[in-house]
Amino acid sequence: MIVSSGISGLDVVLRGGYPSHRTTIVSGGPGSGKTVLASQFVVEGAVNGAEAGLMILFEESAEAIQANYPGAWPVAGSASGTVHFVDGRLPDDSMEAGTFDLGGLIAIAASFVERYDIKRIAIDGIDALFAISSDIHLRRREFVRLLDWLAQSGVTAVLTIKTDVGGGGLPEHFDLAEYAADGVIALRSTMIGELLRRTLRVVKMRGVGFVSGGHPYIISDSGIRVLHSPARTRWAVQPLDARLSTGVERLDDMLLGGYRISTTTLVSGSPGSAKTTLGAAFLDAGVRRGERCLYVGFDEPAEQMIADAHSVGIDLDAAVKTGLLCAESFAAGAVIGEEHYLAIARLIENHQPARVVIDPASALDKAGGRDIGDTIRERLLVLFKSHEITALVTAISDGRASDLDIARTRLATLADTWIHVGFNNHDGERNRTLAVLKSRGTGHSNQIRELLLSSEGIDLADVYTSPGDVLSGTARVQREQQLAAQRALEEERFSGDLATLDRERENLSRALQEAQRSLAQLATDRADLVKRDKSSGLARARDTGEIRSLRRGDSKP
Amino acid sequence: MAAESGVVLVLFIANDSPRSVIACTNIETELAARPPGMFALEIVNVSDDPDRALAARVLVTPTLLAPAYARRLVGDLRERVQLAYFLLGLSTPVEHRA
Repeated sequence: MIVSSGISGLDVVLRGGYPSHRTTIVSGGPGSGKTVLASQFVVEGAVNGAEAGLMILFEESAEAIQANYPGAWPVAGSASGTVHFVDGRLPDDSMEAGTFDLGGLIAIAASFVERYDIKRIAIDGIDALFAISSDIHLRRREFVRLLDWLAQSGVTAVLTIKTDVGGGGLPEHFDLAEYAADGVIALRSTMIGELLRRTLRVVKMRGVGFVSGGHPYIISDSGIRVLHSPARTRWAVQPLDARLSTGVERLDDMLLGGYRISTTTLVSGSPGSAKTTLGAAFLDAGVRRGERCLYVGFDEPAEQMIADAHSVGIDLDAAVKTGLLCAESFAAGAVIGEEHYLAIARLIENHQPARVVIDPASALDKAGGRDIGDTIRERLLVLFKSHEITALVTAISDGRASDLDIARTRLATLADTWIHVGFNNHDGERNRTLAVLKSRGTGHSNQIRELLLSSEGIDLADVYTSPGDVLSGTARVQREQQLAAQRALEEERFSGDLATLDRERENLSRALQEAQRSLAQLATDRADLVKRDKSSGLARARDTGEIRSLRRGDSKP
Repeated sequence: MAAESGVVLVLFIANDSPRSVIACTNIETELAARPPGMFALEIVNVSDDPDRALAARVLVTPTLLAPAYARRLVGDLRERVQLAYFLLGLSTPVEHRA
């Protein structure tokens, strides 16, 4: 049997939750969220399982924890009826005079279990109780006694123990705890630059499986949220022709209709190369079709993006007003990457968008470094896929680095489509170019296009290559004019040639008719001639006979 | 002096655990050495009366309370000097290790 921890991400890590009728120890430094975790466990039972719970508090009062962690106590009123509190804080008038045991604690807890049919117990900060004794043997003995009592009482328990700030090992007198308890979860905090990063690790969990390794978590206003590896790594693959318009007609043509549904497109480029503009066009195409869209900007207010989009004839104001477009922005370097991930995940849960733009996703590197940035981007891409979201994420390549720099990032590997927008310098001009470097499932053009931005909108134009060069801007226009002149010349030459040929053909056919007529005449003449010859032959024969008879010759001719 | 006017002491114990038994012996021995009626001792078994333990926030046993002094002494009272100071309503020269 397994009981939910009240924290969905932790339940995934624990493959369902804590083992029931067992005790799980949670260790962590100050501020690591032990009390929140313990609270969520008890509240979950009270609210969703209709199970009475007991919290024994050694560090804060019941009023304080409900006030300090409102996220863990969303229904303070309704939960308070079935969650009981025991204030275990030792009054500060206490003095130690000899050895003691936990008889009072166990007697009190036992009476609650019996009276209120308690199913879940959270004991928060048990280490504070032991602090009054310097006797290590006493601490060990009494701790094991408590665990024994919990084991035979039939409750499911979570017991938190404070460690040093980073969340290292348990205090000396709890060294047995990790062996004696059924489960141990360690909470760790590390500083990455100036950012705090929290990770949770299941050290052991008897009788149940769990996902090993460190799992990042945050303490949000709705309690602890754990970033587990995605539970679902399989998703429905959309047919190849399921496309969403990019918002740029000729780009749609290049990509056989647009970006594939449920895929992520990376748009990389140096600053000012119109990455955000392509994002705005993509969102605009979405809201025009009535699709819900989400824009997440880093380090620049979302309002700026919306205002700037007007310069290329894109008006997103109405979509923001109607709520179709949700536009948010965050300071990338203010919190650790996991916080950004969970903030975006929550926006997606709340807004249910069909299209998402993250601009620039490369800014996540500021939230704890490249490795964390890569991990968060990877998680986001999986998140998009599992929600069947079509996404566009942008990445800034710095001035020096080429697109090869981005090619090495995991983002370029993971993205389904990769578009690079760059600049082409030629004849003292700097023109925007666009190339589709990769597009899974799409036979795309290899050619670089010129990206044209105007108040009319965004368009693409063919560019011309001369050996070792790509022509754009004025050079392209010049080349276009050159080609037009050439074409005119050729056309002229062609029509001239055509006329000549036509004339010749006419001459020839006329000659042909002439010849045919001559031929016919010839035939007639010949026939006449033959006729004439026959009659004259007879006459000649007769004449010959006459002549012969005149000459008295032979009678034979 | 009547017993009612003595300083009230409450000793919380847990059944007949060794430390509870030792604590009872220690306090009784100590009180026996003082004028009768100076203290009024009550012994509470937390297993029989957990509500009383809860109300007094007694989570460890044995615990000796002196409500009049607003002090409590935790442990089996084997440290006689501590106990002696406690009964006088004084702080121990040895600070407890918090």
